[in-house]
Amino acid sequence: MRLLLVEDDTMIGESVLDLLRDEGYAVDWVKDGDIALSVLETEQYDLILLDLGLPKCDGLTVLRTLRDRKSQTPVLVATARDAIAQRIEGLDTGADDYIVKPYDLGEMLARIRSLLRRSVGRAEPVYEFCGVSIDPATREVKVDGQAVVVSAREWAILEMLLARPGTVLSRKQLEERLYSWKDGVSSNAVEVHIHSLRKKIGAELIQNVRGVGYMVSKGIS
Amino acid sequence: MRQRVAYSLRARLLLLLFAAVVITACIQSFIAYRTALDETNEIFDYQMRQMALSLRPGLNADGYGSNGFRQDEDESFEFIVQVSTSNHKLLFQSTPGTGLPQREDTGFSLFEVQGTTYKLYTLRHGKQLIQVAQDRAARRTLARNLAFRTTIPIMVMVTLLLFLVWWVVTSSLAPVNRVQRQISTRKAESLDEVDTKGLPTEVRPLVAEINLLLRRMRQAFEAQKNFVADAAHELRSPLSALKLQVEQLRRSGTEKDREIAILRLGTGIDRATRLVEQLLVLARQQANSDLHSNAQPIEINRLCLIAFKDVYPLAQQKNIDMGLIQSDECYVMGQEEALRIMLRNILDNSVKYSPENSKIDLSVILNGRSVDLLVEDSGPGIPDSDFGRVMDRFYRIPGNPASGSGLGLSIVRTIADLHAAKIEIKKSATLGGLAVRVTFEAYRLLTSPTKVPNQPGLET
Repeated sequence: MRLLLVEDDTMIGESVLDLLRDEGYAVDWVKDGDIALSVLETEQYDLILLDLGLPKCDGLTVLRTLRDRKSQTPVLVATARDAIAQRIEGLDTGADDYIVKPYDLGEMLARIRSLLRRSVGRAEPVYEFCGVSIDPATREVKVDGQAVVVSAREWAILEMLLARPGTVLSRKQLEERLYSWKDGVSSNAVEVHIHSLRKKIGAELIQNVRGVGYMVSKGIS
Repeated sequence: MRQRVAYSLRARLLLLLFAAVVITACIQSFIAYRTALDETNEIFDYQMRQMALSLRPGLNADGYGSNGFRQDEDESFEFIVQVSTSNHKLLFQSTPGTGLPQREDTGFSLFEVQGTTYKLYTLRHGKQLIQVAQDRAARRTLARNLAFRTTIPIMVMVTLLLFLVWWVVTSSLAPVNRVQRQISTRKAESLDEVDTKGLPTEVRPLVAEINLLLRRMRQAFEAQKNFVADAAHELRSPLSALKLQVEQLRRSGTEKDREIAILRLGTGIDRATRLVEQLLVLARQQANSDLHSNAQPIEINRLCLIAFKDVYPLAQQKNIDMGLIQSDECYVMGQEEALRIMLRNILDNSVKYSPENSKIDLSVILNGRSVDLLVEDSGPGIPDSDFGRVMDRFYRIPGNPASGSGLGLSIVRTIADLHAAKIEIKKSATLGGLAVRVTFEAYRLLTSPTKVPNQPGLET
């Protein structure tokens, strides 16, 4: 899952960046509204973590512009501005959730998970499909009730595929959501992870659609 | 203590104008009455004289009325006419039985008969004594009636005038009443301006002043609201950072991660500490309103040198060329500690926001009666649109990476205000960055202190 962090405070930014990366998210960090908008024009993100008090172009303007472009990307506003009117304005401008600084990291991560879950049209916290269940909160993968240890990247691929069974994701799409700018991506990195995943959870779950990409087939039972 | 009674302008105007009109009318009526009375008297007198004169040819010197005066007339005449000879022989009497005293002195006189006072006119014509008398009471009543009638138009006019005064006063004050209603019926929290349309020029300045006050209050409220929002942001951000940094420390698995986390936590605590310190300085300086009780002459050039030396190491770290261009010996009245904080903040700001290898110039200039402290830098400066805001609390130059508290220039302004000094912030003409100029009133020492040679350059 790839996140965009928009935060002008250096100290907060670097801590959040590291903490989110530790959680296995691919995170890019921009420090002002103008850059955020230009980045959002070209890159795809699964979620945007937005501060409101930004230089050059404030957070609400970023949000408004983003929604004017008909972007569906979930936006979690994380700000120190806590007045009720500001929260209402933020949510009405198109934010999906609003969290006030100083926030608890656990709470913020839970909100991120909830937004990601909802954005793929799911309500249940644990995804289960054909005997394979994954829990985004604990990052546990179970195959027929047996816990399986997977790497962070393998987990991310599995999560993306299991979230929307029947949807084919191309290698490029997977790569984009797997890596932030700082990560160098080797040409067959996705294949390597998928190969490793198949060994751990069984070869038949993840299907290769030749020339298109990968999917978890709905048809399997 | 007697409380001043609030009065209504309208009531006061009406009362005074009414009183003026009524008093004037009374005086006028009285004068008219008196004049009319006197005139009537004169007319009556004239009548009596004319009557007496007209009787002269009508009677013989020794005969009774041949011209057929009807003596048996029963009516009671107001006038009594009597003609007699010089030897008191009655020649003619208009009202028999009412004899007039045959006096020798001619002209007007009074006499009384049967309880009635008469006014008598006596005329001597040859041997005849012609006398005309008139009942004084009847004469007076007539005169009064006449005089009174002359005052009636005045009374009518007065009534009209009173009504007119009432109408003029009420309609003139109507716009004032409208403003009063407009103000009294508004909501308590409303700071909207009062409509000045149709107001007379006397009231307009007052309402304009009220509007100005309302506008200033609105601005103050807005500034306060902005401040609260900014304060929320500025106070929470360091705390958010600390919380996240602690979380990071807690989650760090390796020794290296832990070291990074501890380092970050340290800078986070420094930042929060600095913010708290600056807030305290600001609060203390804002509460410090009694400058005059403990102000003393401060040798400001010496203080500048101290501040300069304090900041110099920081400038060196960034390889900033910092120099003292001019240092005139001069004094200002003030508090040393406050002025030191002010200088420190100006210089700190310059160093903080100037890039590496830039230049900062400090000058202390004595301009006759004023002292200028001038700090110029070759840094990025601030956008023109922000010159007005730069001294607001928590204002920070957009996009500036330096993590200041945003309070530095607010502190500078507070201290400058305390010393009645002027601050001017603009683009530096010589270095291209920001120029901060603080202008104090120079203090002249009565006795010249021991002559100090001009400060030498900085010793580092």
